[in-house]
Amino acid sequence: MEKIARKLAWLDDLVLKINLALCGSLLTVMVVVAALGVFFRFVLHASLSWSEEFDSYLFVWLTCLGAAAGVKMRAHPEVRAIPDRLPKPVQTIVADLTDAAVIALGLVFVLYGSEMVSMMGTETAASLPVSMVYPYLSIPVGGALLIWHSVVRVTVSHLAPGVRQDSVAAAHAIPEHI
Amino acid sequence: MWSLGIGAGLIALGVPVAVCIGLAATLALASTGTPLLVIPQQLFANLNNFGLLAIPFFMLTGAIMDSGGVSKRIIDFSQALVGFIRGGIGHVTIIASMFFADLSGSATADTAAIGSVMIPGMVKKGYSAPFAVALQSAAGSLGLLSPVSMSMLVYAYTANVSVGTMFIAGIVPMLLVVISFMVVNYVVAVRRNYTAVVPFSAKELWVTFKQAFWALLTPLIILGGILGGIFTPVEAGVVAAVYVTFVSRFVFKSLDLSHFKEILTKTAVNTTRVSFLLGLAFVLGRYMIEAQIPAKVADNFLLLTASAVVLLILINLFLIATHTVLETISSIVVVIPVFMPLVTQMGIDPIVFGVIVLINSAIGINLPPIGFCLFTAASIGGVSVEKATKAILPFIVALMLDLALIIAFPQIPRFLPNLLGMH
Repeated sequence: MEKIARKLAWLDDLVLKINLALCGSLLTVMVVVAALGVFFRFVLHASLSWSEEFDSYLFVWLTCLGAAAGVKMRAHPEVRAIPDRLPKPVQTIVADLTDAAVIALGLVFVLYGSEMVSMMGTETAASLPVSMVYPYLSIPVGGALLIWHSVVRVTVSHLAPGVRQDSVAAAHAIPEHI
Repeated sequence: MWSLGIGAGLIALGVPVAVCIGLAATLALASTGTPLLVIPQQLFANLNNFGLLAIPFFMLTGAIMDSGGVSKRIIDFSQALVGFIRGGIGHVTIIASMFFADLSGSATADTAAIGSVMIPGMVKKGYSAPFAVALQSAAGSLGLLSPVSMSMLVYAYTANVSVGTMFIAGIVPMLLVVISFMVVNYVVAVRRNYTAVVPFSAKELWVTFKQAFWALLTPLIILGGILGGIFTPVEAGVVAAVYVTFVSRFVFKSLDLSHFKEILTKTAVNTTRVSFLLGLAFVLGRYMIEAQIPAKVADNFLLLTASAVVLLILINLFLIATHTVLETISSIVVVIPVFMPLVTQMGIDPIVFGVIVLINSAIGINLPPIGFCLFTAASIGGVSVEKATKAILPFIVALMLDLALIIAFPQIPRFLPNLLGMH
């Protein structure tokens, strides 16, 4: 069992790494496109028609992917005042409840997000020759990643409590959590 | 309404605030029979907004500046500027924190950045560790009011006011807080016989000013660009990001390109901390408006008392309490939509209210025993929060007085916007 848990934790870290690399790339492209937009508007006096729309879609993608990475890294603002003062066994239950909550929200994103994709995906973007499927897909994909990270955490923490989940340990270094 | 209660309960249990907001919105909409398809639709529509890109661009600017050793230049310049006054090292901490704009949206991160240098620095100059911690904690909250503060940006989005006006409105209140902190520090310095750090030297001031110049220019580019009507906040953000990259790489020669990957990932995750929260808060906000919850809250508050002063005190106490348990940006996105109609009904200018909210936040994050900023500063200084508690009280009193002044004289935050002809 512990072997499976280790494999799972390893895969989880790999998913996170790929996700973070994607997020970093998205941000880079966003900066470059926005800078191009400024350059065209102020220097060449010919605004780009697509830069703002394109960047906004990347921003939605960044938010959905980054939100999942943030869950794994425990980077989202949360209030630790009560849970950290609970007795250990209760803390385990509360931790599972937290993951259940994330999974529930992820399910909403996956279920209704894919409904949105199938219902509204026939549209085309305003200034780009792209189907709206690609921007809309960000929400179900983000939801699936939310579910993945939380399911792995619950599974690993119960199958092999000894396996260190690095990012979780790192969370306590984030001063935002009290 | 009960769905909001469940959301609040989940927050108390340590579930990420954004997730609680999302679930509360889901439950609320489900209970009214609204098709849940509106959740992804609304989330998408709210995030698909070019204006929000100021968040990642401001954060990127801040992250690049941090990595380039800017804090040391700012501290050196501050030392030349105020180091000669009695209790100099304390004044240096206050002034350096003022220049260190809150681009990351986290006063605790600012406290950590300056505090890791200044708290040991103060202790070395004879300051007692608890007072050094308290002073740094208080000073760390100055970033909230700085002209390019992420918290202000989020407030402007949430309350639907102009970003440029909000930034400008914060300047005079920020100076007021700076002066009140410096007075506290001066009084303590005289009592405990702390001395100045260095004698005043015009030459030193000039030298350090030149070194810090390019860094100090960053907020001016953003502010000037927005105010001059040249740039939108997003454009100002991207120009600033490109500018600091060049300055750090070619002028300061401090930016190693190998660090760039880390800076980008960090910025991406920090961005989603804010944008995920904001996107879901907008979804919940729409439900709340449809259910007329802000109007009901306003009615109930108005039933409680007809006196505007009492009402404002109640709102302020509520806001301080919220900011003590929830960090600044979460509090803003959760609480502001609920209070906005009441505030407008009372005839308070939303810009002035923004400044009030941020000072409430400064009080909240410094309030013992669990204020975030105090907590961070205490852990950097290696002092228990209990010990820092007594030392922080004069600063809390100073903030309360500043707050009272601003409430009594809304002209203070309105001064610069009126001068510049902003409505």
